[in-house]
Amino acid sequence: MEFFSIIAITVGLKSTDMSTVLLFKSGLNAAWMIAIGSFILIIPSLLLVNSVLKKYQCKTILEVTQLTLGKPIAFVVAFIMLCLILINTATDSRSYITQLITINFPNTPLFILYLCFLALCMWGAKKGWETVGTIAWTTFPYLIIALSFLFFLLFKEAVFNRIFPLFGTGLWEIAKGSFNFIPLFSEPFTLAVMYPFVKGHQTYTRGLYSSLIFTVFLMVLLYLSYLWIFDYRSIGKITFPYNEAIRFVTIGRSITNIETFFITIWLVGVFVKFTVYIYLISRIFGFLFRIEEFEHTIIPITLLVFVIGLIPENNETNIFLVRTTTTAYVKYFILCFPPLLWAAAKVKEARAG
Amino acid sequence: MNNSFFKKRKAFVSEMSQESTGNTSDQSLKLFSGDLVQDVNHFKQLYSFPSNVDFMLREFTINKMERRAVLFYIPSLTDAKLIDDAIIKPLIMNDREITDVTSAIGASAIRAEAEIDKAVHELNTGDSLLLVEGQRHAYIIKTALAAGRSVEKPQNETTLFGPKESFIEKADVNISLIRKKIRSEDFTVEKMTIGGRSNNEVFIIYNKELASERVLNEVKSRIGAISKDAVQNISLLVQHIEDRKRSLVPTVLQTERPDRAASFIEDGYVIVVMNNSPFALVAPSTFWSFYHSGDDHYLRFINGNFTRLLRILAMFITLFTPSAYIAITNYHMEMLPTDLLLAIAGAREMVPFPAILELLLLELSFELIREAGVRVPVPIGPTIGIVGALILGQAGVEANVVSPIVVIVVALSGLSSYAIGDVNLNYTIRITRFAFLIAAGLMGIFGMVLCFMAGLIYLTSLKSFGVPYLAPLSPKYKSSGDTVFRKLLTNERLRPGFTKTKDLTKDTVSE
Repeated sequence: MEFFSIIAITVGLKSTDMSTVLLFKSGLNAAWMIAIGSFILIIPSLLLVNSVLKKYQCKTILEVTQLTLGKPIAFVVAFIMLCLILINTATDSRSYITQLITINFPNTPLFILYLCFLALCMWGAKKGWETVGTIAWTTFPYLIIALSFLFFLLFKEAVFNRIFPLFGTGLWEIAKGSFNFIPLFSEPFTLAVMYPFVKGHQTYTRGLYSSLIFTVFLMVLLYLSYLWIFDYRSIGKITFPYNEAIRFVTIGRSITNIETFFITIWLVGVFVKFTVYIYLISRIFGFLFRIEEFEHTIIPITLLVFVIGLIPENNETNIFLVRTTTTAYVKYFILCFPPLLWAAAKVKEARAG
Repeated sequence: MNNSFFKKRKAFVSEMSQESTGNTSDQSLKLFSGDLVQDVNHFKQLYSFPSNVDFMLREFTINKMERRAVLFYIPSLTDAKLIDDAIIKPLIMNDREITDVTSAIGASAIRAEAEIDKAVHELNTGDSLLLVEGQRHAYIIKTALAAGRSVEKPQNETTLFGPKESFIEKADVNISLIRKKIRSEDFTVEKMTIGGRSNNEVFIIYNKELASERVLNEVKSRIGAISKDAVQNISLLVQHIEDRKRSLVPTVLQTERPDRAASFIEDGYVIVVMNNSPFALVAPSTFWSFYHSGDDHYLRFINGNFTRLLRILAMFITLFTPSAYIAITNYHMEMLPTDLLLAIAGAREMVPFPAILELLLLELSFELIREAGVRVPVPIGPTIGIVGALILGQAGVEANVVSPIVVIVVALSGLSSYAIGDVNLNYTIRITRFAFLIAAGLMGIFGMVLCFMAGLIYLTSLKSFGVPYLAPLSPKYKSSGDTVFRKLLTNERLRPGFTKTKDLTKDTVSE
């Protein structure tokens, strides 16, 4: 159950940040289809990873790689994973904080907010995986309630005809876009590191697929709402679609600006997301360099994330640059790694049995 | 150099304690000798008789047995009438031959004790000691009766429909108040003694079929690990055995109502009772034990849930209203409707202080009035109300030192904090309110969310006697789902799973 909420939060919040701009740029009207397409493309890899994990119960995916592919290759693989996730986290966190600052706190320096934010995520991650899961599970219903409230308010402003033309730029473009945006769903692979902590394979599988379907549904709905409110031409020009959307809604005629309420809920989700990320990074780091008590590495790793996040000087463009390059690498990693793993597992089985 | 200093201190302390625990010359006198004169002199020396007037001895000759006997007792702790009628009278005025002293005495509990230390210990708790010439043991007769209150109404936890009895300072009466609600042979009371000098007794009460072994052992080991000279009552005991002594959040519940204690016993919790305290401790305690009040279950389903809804609303209002006011007026002015914004701006126009300073001043004065209200002697109680209302409220506003909006905010948050019944949780909420206020002043909504998440992380990682603090909400245990809201009584079929009881269902055993 906690697994469900963790996946839903980490993946779902991606629909509220700046990656939606990239999505809409390539897909225009049919950006929501891209999300579905990416999910479909990623299902085979997920299935492969699942089957490998089932064979080796009670081991994380990193240990499984060690067993199947041998130690040096596993080291390389894990190292690549670590680098990718690290850069991802740093750019992601920076982009979220930028979102918060630009609209709501125009006078505050990025440094302070970023520092406080990461300090809290670090403290949360230090408390352990059970605490993180518990927090995700406790706050998840309220996030959903707030989101549904938002949807309800958005529907009032929506113009449903803006969904046409249905396929936007064309089917081939959508397919290319889906391929390019596979990293949207890269979380389940990193979360496979926590496989032994979930009660059983059944719980894992069921939680994984149900939460992914739920998340895809959520993201699609959110993208559609952006489409309905701002037509596709404007979305390419808005850097923060979520923030604009929440400024747009009104309750009746007197309460015109309730965006602070939605910001609060959104912030809670963002905290959970980055607490999970920081914990995962430390775990992979601990595995890589064979540190048993990786919880002590959480503090230096947070500092590392902080420093890396501060490197891009200009907020928007540099983040987009870095993001697009990393997504390029991540998608190849995700597409190639599971089949490799599965094949190696099969080979090992054939050799042993 | 440090080592030798500490060694000297330790040696000094152990020498002192050796000196004070009885005369070293009498170490050999561990058992009663049978020689009446020697024993009586020993006791007289021990209790500083006759300069200590609170120690009496009665010498007499047991009729028909022709033996001398001495009765020791402490008059302030014993029932004089019982001593007269049940002990002295039958022994002196008996007509028949007495062979066995125990059969001649009419008291309800009598036993023989051969060791002097234990006999002295029992004498100190109010029992009487009878020494008979020639016998190498003394008889301990139960005659304890100390002065105290009688059972009254509860003062801090009042209910509309529930029973109106509360604990008093005597442990026996407290145990009987609980026991009469659970008449079962599984109701177990264990006694432990703590405190080197004052020998306070701690009673641990549980239902042996329902309580969890782990929690019970944890409670006993923590109480046994206390190494102070005197732990007088429950409020001091709590601070010794709680999980995190410096934490803002309470982890052990103190209740003054026997019906609450009884319902906790039936759910598998462990209760601790002591003399000199009109409270009982409940272990393990989760957040929900502090949040619920007894009234929630005594009222009907809808009324009880309505009260709970009000309580959670009150909690949020207390915590968030002052900080939300600061965050919105300082950082997010666009969120208010224009009319409200103009009203606030107009009210704040003449005030010389920034909003947060004003709010802090008023909050501080409200807390001062509140503390004063608790300690003020009853005759001048109403004066505090007048002082508070007139001076701080009215005059402050008229002089434009504070704005009326801030008075409203502070009064609202202060009033809602009274909806939280439990004293410890009340303090927690009041203190966290200030933390939220400062965070909101520094960083607006972001600060508030930071503070809220920090609190949530802290609560989810807290454990009370091994049970997670937010159970059964967070780690999902099988339970009746009695967290923020409750169900119909007929639908509450499970005991809380986190107490790891042995019998999970509340329905009667069908056999």
